[in-house]
Amino acid sequence: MRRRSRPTPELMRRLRQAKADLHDRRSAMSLKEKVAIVLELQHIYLPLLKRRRPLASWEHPWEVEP
Amino acid sequence: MEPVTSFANALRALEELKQLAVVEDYAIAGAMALVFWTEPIPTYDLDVLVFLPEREKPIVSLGAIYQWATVRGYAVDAEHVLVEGVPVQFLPSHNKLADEAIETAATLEYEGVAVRVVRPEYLVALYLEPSARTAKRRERAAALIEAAGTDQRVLKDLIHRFKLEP
Repeated sequence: MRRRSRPTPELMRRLRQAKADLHDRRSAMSLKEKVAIVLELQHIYLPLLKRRRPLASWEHPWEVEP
Repeated sequence: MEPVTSFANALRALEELKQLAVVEDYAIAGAMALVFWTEPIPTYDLDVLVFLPEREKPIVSLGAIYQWATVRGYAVDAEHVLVEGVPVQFLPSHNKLADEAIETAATLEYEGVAVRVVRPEYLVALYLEPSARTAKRRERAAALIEAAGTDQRVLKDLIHRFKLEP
């Protein structure tokens, strides 16, 4: 079997910490910022969702300001 | 098309429901509640747990909410009411756990509007209910369990009292 190079435990620790920090930063955003992102995500995910299954009539991006 | 209303207006309408006694109390649950406590995730509706006023009939009806929607000019679409552009699903409290989730909901403020939101420990417990368990909900429960604001002692108590499987 081919022997692969592996990341060091230190690199893995740093990568995991960076991901945890990103989640923490997103969680700490203001509610208005979070809702603005939800509205953006609605536009991004809709085509993906549409490819997977038929959409319900109410599944569409909200026409509101955050 | 340019937005003509705001998310805050949808929240204001929920408060109005309570002020008009169409519902006794309410609390935002589901994915949008999770957004309040953790990070933004995609969702297309707003789940709202409600206590309906006591009636003589044992079976609850959402009729009063639909009447309110008609008066306000909000369209009803497949169990959702389009409140200020936001599809809202009103879910009458279905058991003791949901009762507690509404009773203990946090009152937060969004752009100057008071809004009741189910606390993270109760959101986890609701996601862990056998009737509600899906892969997506388990994933959301896991994210909430790790969230900084989740009180592990309260969560443990809920899991024990309502015999939930973590």
